[in-house]
Amino acid sequence: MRFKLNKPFTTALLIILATACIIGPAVPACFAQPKAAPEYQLKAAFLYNLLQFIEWPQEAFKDADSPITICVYDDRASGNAFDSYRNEKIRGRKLVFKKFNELQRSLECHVMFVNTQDRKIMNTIIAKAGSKTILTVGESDDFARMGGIINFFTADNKLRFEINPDAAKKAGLKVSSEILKVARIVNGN
Amino acid sequence: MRGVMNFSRRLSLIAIVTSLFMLFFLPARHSCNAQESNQSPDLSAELKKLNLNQLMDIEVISVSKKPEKLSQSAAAIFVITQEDIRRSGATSFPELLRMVPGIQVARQGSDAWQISSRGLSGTREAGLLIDVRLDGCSLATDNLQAVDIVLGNIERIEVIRGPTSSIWGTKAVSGLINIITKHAKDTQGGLVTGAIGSGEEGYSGMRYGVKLKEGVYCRVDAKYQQFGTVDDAVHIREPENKQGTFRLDWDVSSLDRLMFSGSYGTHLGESFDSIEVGDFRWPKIDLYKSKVDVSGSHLMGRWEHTFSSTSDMVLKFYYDQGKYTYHDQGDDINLPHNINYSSYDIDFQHRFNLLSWNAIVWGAEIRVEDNTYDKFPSFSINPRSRIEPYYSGFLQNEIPIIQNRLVLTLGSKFEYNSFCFFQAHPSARLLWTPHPQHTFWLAVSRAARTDLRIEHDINYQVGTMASPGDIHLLRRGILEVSRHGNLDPEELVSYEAGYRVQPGSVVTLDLTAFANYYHHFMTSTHLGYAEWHPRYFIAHWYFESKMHGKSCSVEAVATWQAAAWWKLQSSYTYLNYHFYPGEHDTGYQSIKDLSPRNQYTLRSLINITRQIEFDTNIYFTSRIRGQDLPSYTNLILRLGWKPMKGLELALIVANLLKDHHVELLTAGKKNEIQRSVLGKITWTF
Repeated sequence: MRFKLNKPFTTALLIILATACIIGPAVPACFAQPKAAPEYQLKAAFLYNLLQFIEWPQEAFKDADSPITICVYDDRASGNAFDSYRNEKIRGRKLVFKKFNELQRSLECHVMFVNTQDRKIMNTIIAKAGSKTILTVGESDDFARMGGIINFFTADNKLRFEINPDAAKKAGLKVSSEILKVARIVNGN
Repeated sequence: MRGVMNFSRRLSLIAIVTSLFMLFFLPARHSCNAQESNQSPDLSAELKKLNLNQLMDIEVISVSKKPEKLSQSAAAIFVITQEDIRRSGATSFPELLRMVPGIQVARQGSDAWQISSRGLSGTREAGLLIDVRLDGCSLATDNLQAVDIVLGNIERIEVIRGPTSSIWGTKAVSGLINIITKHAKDTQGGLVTGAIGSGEEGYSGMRYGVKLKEGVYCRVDAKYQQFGTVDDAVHIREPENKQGTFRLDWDVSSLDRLMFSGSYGTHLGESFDSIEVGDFRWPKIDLYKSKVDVSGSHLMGRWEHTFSSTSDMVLKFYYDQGKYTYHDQGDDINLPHNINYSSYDIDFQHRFNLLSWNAIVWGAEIRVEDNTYDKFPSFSINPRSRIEPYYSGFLQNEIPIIQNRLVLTLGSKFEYNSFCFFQAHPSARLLWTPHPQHTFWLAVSRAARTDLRIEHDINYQVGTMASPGDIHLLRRGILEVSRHGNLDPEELVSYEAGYRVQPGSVVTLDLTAFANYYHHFMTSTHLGYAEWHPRYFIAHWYFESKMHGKSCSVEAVATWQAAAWWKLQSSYTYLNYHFYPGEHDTGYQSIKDLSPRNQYTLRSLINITRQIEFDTNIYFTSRIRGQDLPSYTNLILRLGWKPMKGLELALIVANLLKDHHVELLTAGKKNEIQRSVLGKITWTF
């Protein structure tokens, strides 16, 4: 009953060792820190910034302390990007995040983040938001042209946004000229 | 010596598996550190401090892997959603596929279905098969009895008709069904479900999902299903399934995701065995049932990593093993015989942009299949046990000819194994989007099928034959099987064209047409004589690749959201094909006209109130010429009621129009599928 290191055993050992050698040096690649950020974390930061420049009429809120409700369409895609904004305040109002979909009847949202590419869903949501004081934010080519207020797009791998001022006016929202300067202006609907 | 060989092979396998797990875990642990150091929440906190102008300088890494938009693919794709599954009234996976155009589903008994894509039936031993994949991993067995899918765990099912071998390989010659299961995050909490129906049909299942820590989700579930006597055949046992599964999702960071899943299940069923009686050319087949016990399990691991918005990779490991045990009843040999199979699969895929405009996807895969046929009385297979490696790789390049308007996709898979040596499956696809609402596509592909092990290794089959002088005098004997020279691989060349249009926001229309040319299909031919001995006979058969054929078809689907509460979907399939067999071929018998010429479906999903749903599913199938079966219409009605949050009740009536009907013969025998009623309750908490 003497154990002998036979050939297949050594081969097996070699395969394992070889794998370890290949992976070992490859790992630090994960640590590289470019001046880049995952899509939704960047969008969350943008949105947080943009909200500072948008004013809702008094009647959009129950009282002076009631929070700003931000409704997110696809919270799977956005993941935990909004998590660190949960305790933030904008002009004394707390931020509250909710999930919503196009089939919901009542939309008690101040902001709707329509992160989908589906035109049908975009259309339904824009129609539902209609003349309510809701800031619609999208991320698809035609969103602003279809009547959405803010739309994210990428140019040279950087995040940009466009604004449809007519749609904002229709919704009764005041958009500061500060951000109109850096946005691409879209007319439509 | 043989034992040593086996041992060394197994050891190598163990080594490969261990290496693979290192591949999984090492980067995972480091990614964890990466998460702490550079991902959320620190990065979020940093981003929060920046103003708009600063933010505009930061590069975007797109991590939400958006599934390719349906309207943007140059292939005949149909997607079955969770809502479709819930409202179809189906309790078994094959029943779901009835709504897909171009797919033929025939129920042959309580627990037996036959599925084929574009008319090539799966029962033909040498037939072209449709590839069924679970989360991208090809199921080792083609038998849907062993593959029990818990319907409630399905996120969606993507069905691609036509050859998809340029990426998926030899099994996907006539189509691909990819079952995508839900992320464990979406199945948090508990679920208990039960169903009871006429004919002792029954179902019970439970599921529980928990969040282990931030970003780590897990679920386990168990189910028991009794198929009952849906058909009117004589049953020697009540078919039933038991299964347990788990899935663990670890969203390590926004750039790395890990998934592990596994299952163990058993199926107690029946199988049909046949004795051939009579003339070689027109054998009369006597059928008897035997018991079959199936048990199987799988384990899967997947690592997805995103490098940038245009580059990512997926590494998968899949292990599948199982055992079929047959207990013969009708034969004079009562020894149980069995098949043991296991397969190991490592698959890597990488996507990146070359020269900023070429989108390249490439991948490599090694699969090792190990199967043993044990104590089979009716045929001999040599070697009895075989470990067979399959190597493959693919390369695909997406070339935009006119930005956002015209895209050409060229690609091919290359495969190597000892059955077929080297095979290539090239394809070219052209996608033209002249307007966001209109999409046209064209495709040409070549696909070839690898021999099944049983085709390659079979030596002889035991059969029964009538004596040439007296047809009532039966004699048992041996059918010797040999291969006649070098067999060419079965080959398909397919030309496809499609058009999709979305005229308004509520209507979509999807049209596909194709012409398929089949070459070198395998035929089995006998030499026209048998050696008769007083107690037995010996006959000689050989395989040739003599058959060729062609088929053409039109498939159409229209979807109309008539109102917010009413969705309609209708589809139509026309299929026509001809096969020209070799001389005296018997394989031809089973391929000839086993698919309906016309299929029509209509589904209506109505939300009567917020709590009450009323769904109608109509499936029409025209007659099966090859078996002289009349056309039939399945009408399935479902009434759903959600009396309170988390509780759902449903009443389902299937095959309402007729007491019973036959969908496909099983070895010449009719199994009548009967009308059935099913009550179902689902409670989530």
